[in-house]
Amino acid sequence: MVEVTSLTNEELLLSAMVGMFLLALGVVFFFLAYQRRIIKQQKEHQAKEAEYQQQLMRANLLSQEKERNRIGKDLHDGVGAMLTTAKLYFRHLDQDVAPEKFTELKEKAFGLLEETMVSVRRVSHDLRPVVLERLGLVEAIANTVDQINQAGEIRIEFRHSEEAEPDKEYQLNWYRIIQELITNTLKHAGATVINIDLTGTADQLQVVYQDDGVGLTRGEEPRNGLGIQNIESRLGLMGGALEFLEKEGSGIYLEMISSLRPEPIRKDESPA
Amino acid sequence: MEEVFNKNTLDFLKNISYLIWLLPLLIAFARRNLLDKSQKKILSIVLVMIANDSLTYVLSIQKIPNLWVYHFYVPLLMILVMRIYTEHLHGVRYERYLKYLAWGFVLCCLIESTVFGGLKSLNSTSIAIASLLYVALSIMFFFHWLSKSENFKIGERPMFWLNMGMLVYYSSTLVLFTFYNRVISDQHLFHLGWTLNAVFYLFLIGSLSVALWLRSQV
Repeated sequence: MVEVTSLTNEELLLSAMVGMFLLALGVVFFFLAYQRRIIKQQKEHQAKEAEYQQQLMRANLLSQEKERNRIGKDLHDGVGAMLTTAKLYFRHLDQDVAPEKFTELKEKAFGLLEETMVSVRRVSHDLRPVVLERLGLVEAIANTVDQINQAGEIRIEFRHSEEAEPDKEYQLNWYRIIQELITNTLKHAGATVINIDLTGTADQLQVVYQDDGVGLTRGEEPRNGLGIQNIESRLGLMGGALEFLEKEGSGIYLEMISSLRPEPIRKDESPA
Repeated sequence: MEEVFNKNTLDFLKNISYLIWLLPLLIAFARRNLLDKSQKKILSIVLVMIANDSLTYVLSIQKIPNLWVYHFYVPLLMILVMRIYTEHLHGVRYERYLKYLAWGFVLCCLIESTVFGGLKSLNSTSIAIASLLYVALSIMFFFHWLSKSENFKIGERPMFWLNMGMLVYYSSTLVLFTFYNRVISDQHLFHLGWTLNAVFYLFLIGSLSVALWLRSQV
C-alpha cells in the first residue's frame, strides 16, 4: 500500500516538475513567436506608410507640374500671343500712316494690351485668388459657390460657422481642396446638389462635403485618384485628415479636419 | 525510476553544476570591460549564487550544518533580482510597488528565520514565495516588453536570457517546494525532486552564461 502511494507521488512530482518546465519553455517560445509577429507587422506597416507617403509626394509633384504646365500654356497661348500681335500693331504705328489707320491700329493695340492685362490678372488670380487674399476663406468659397450657382447646372449649398480664421497658407490649401472637390463633382459625379458645411473652432477647422452624384463604384479605392491624393497631401501638410463615409451609389460624403495654423516649433524640437 | 533518480545521479549533477559555474565566471572575466549595466547586475546575481553554492558545499563536506546559509541567500538574491527588474520594468503600472514587495519579502524571510523554523531548518516557505515572485516577475517582464513593441529581437538582449532562466528554473522550484513536506519525508521523492531541480539549475546557469556572453545592445 505504501509502495503504491509512493509511486503515485513520484509520478505526480515528476509530471508536475517536467510539466511546469515545459509550460515555462512554452511561455518563452510563445513570447518569442509573438514578438516576431509584432516586428513583422510593424515592418509591414512601416513599408505601407512609406509607400503611401511616396504616393502623396508623387501626387504633389504631379500636381505642381500640371499647374506649371497650365500656367505656361496660359502665358504662352494667351498673354504671349496677344503681346506678339500688339508688337505687330506697334510696328505699323508709323508717323507716315494715315491718321484714321493710325487711330485704328492704336485702338487695336490698346485693346490687346487691355486684354493682356485681364489675362495676366486671371493667371495671377488662379495662382492666389484675390478674394481669398482680401476677404478670407469663407468669402472666397462663397464667391466660387455663387459663380457656379449662377451657371444653374448644379446647386451648391454652403453653410459655415467659424470662431477663428485659419492661417493664410492654410486658407489657400482649404480653398484648393474645395475647388478640387467641386471640380471632381462637376466632372464625374453627375450630381444635382452639393452640400458644404464648414465648422471652425478656436483651433480646428472641419469641412463636410457631400453630393448626390454616382458616388464610388464597387471596389473603387477612393484614395487612388490623383485629386484625392492631392487633397490628402494638402491636409497632411496642415496636420489634418480625411475620412470617406460614402455609401455605394449614393453620392460622396467626406469629412475633413485640420488645425488652423502650424504648431509653433518648440525650442527643444528645433534642429541642432 | 530509482535507477535514474538516485543519490549518485544527484551528486553527479551537483558536481557538474559546481563545474559549470566556471562558465559564466570565465565569460564575465573575459568580457569584464564590455559588460553593460544590466550584465553587471546579472553578474552580481551570478556571484551571489556561486558564493551560496560554494559555502553550502564546503560546509556539507565538513559535515557542518549549512541550511542557515539559505536564510541569508534567499533575501539577498531577491533584493538583487528586484534591483534589476525594477530598472527594466520602468513604466509599468505597479512599478513603485515592486520595491515594497522586495522589502515585504525580506520581512517574511526574517519572520520565518526567527519565529518559525529557525536557522537550522530550510526556509522552504520563503523559497516557495520567492519562486512565485520570480515567475510573476518574469511573466510581467515579457508582457512589458511586448507592450513596448520595440523593433528589436529580444533573443539578443541579456535580460531575455536572465528572464528565461528565472522563469524556467523557478517554475519547477515552485512545484518542488509545493511538494516539500512530502519530498523530505520520502527518499525516492527526495532524489527525484532534487535531481530534476539540479537539471533545471544547469539550465539557469546556461541562461545566465548566455546573458553575460551577449554583446551590449545599448
